[in-house]
Amino acid sequence: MKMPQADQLRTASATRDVSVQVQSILYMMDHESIEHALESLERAVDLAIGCGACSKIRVSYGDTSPQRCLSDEDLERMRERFSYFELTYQFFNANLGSARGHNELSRYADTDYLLILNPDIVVSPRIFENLLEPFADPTIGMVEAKQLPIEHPKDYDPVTGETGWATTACALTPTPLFREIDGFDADTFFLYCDDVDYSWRVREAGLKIIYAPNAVVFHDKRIAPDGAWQPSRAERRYSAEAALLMAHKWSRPDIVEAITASFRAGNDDERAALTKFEDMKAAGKLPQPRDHDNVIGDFIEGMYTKHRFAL
Amino acid sequence: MLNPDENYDNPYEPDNVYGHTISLLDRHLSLETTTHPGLRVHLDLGCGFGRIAEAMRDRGLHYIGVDGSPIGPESLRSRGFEAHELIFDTEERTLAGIRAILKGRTVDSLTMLDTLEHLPNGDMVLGIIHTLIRESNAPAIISVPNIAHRDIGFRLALGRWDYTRDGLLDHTHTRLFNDATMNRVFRASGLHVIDSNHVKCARSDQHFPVTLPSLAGKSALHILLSGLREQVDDTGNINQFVNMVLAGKRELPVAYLPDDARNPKRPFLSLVTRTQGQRPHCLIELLTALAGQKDRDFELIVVGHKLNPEQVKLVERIIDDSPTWLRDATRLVREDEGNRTRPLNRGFQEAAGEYIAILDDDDIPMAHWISTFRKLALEHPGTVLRTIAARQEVETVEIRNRQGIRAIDGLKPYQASFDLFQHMYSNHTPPIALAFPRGIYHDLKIHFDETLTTTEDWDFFLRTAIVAGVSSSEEITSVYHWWKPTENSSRTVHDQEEWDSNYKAVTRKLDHLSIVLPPGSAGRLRDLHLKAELQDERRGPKCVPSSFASIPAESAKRDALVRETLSIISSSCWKITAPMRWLSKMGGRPRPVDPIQIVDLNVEELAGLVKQLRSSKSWRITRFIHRNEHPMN
Repeated sequence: MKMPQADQLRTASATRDVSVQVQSILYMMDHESIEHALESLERAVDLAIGCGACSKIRVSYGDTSPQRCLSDEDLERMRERFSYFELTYQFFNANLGSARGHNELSRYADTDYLLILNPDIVVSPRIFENLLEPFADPTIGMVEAKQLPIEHPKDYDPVTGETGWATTACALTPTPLFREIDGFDADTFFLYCDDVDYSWRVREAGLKIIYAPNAVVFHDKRIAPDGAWQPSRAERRYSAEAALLMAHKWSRPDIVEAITASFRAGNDDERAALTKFEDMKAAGKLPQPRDHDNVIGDFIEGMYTKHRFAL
Repeated sequence: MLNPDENYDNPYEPDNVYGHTISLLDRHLSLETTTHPGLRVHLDLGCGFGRIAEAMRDRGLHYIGVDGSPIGPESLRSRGFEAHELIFDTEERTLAGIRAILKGRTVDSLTMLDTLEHLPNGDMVLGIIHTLIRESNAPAIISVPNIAHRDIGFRLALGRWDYTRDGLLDHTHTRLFNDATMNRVFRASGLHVIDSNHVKCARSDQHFPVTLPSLAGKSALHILLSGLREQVDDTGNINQFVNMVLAGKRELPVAYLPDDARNPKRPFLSLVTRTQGQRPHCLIELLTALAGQKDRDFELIVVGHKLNPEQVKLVERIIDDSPTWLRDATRLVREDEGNRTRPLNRGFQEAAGEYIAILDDDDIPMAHWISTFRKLALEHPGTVLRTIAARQEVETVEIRNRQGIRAIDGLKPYQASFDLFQHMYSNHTPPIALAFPRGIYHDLKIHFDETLTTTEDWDFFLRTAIVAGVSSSEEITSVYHWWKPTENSSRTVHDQEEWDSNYKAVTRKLDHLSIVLPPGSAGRLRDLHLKAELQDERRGPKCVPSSFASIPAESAKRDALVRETLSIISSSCWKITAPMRWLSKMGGRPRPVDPIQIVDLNVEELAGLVKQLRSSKSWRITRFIHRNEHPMN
């Protein structure tokens, strides 16, 4: 696959005429959390433009809630308060899921990069500089921020930062690349693993995924009394569904078979996920398998890449 | 207010208020005996019998006594001194009266000893003193009794408050002073303290009844209270404050605590962050995590320790990068002296919050870190607040010349429940998991021990916990970074010998303190004692206390069951049947009991265990032996 963005990005970086669309999908979020996040984002925009790392930054919200999270009055007040960036808002009037929501928002992006960001994430002040810097290397296709307080356990090269996939809680990717590889696979993934799938297709395109531990963001996550990750009900449900779809799409029928056997005797969420998968299969809606030689996709001990530690 | 029952004719003694006054004057005035007596004037307001007059004369001063009662001035005049009667009523009449007495003479020094507390219009009289001494830039010595003498405080702690004929609680006192109120009154009158020579008295006239537990010198309560009182300030044994003042500007508008100073608006939490400016990426992480706090009612004090100019700029830039609201809540203070403990004292000193927490530059609070402290504070005000931190091993990585922190292990929570006794042995709470009530530091004056180079937080926590108590939440609210051994950290910078030495210093200090134990401690101590006994039992002869007379029924029942179990498993008949049980165990049957775990069982579990032991084959077949061992059976 051709990589149209590389030369273009090098030029943009050299002149520092770099523009970024920060895009977030809202789903029943209170505006206080949104404003808290915007306070930090505004400072980061101020610094990024001030130091010349960026020339223009737009913040774009897509709202998939049943009712609008932000009224026109809220938006007017927020635009008045946060004047360092353009703020756009789109109410989808349907729960599109994060993958389709981001694809929709990207259609209007006239920027060099897309920063896929959870709306409740608090960014560090120099986030744009730190996420853009690795793109000086034209072989980079996606850069992921480090999340606080719970760091993702997936492995990365401690010298190069290269990793198997990037979470899109906060990740930067060139807009041309996003379009070139058709963004997120919204037909297959509703809520989870759209980022793993996108990352693998970036790698399939011959580009690298970089984890930037110096580019930190704060994502309000809590842990159980034993120190373990506490997935929400939605996380359990949709990650179970995505596990089957990922194994199918990335040509691992052996794993599909193993998961199927496990889910058949599993909990409600797992049985529901299996039913959904089988329905899709019967309807001929499963994605076409790819990576037949299993060069890209990693399925290691139930994870999509090697992990440094258990969480 | 005049005292009809007491004439206050106390002799001059070097160690009473008179002697202390003369010593103070001697320090500041050139009072060599002069051949021209009468040239310099000393005015003594509220002079009483003027027992300092002779000492003044010996120093070449012309003594003038003034008092509202005629008795004292009569005595003075009979001893050859000038003395006058004057009631201090209105400002105008009082000042006019004194000027009439002075007849144009300049006041070279002035005293008002043990008088202010009797005056209903003391502030007015201080104003007159200010006027008089300002004219000649003369010093004045003013003494008042100390209401904060520990005898008064310790009595009042048990509800005792008795006015007496004279003394610290003279029934004619109209106003009471401690060091702070005295100074506030002076500052409101434009009087500036330049020296002091207070009269100390370990046992005041209020030291009664002698067996009152808070007063009695060797009682545990007195030792505890004394230890706390001495820590607060050094005025607990001062009987009278004797201060020398000069006239200057009025510094306070009123002589009492203004309303807004009673409960000044404070942030809920002050965060003290030590940084040496060597890990800027850590400080960035910390500030980002603070920007994500749900509860923003905090101030952040970054204490830059021994920063060089480049590091100062770097830290300032990192703070300046923060979003506006966080930048406004943050200030950098620099501390260039001391070891790693000094910045904690500096930061706590600067803190304005109701509670104060240590948040080192490599710590990561979760979003509910502050809100969990607040919840605890509302439920348990004034206690040390404890949440749970999860430890995570980390290292520094450098990717494309930019440093970051990399977690290399999972999150390992510290112990959820707080056990004071366990903490006395070793620390299970990193500083980030704690918030200390402001009063502990600022009022009780428990400070960090700067002689410690490590474990300073543990030492501070213990000393505060044994006074304020600890309230705990089982929420995990923070990540405590544990640096890989190859990284520089307090674990690697200080050698084992230093850690051991500090450990001994902390425990030694603790051993010298009286401590307040929370409810439930007695049971915990009994359990610990029983455990120790059981271990002794394994090592040597049995040691079973003979009486349970003072133990409540439920506890007695439980202890009796523990001992019964112990008696069975330590009996010779149980021991001789051990091979039989060993065979059973090899056959897959579980071991019936672990002696060390016995004390952790509840009454029902213990009763079940005893029943199981008694019905066991081992016990039944040796019935003929243990009947002899335990006739009660």
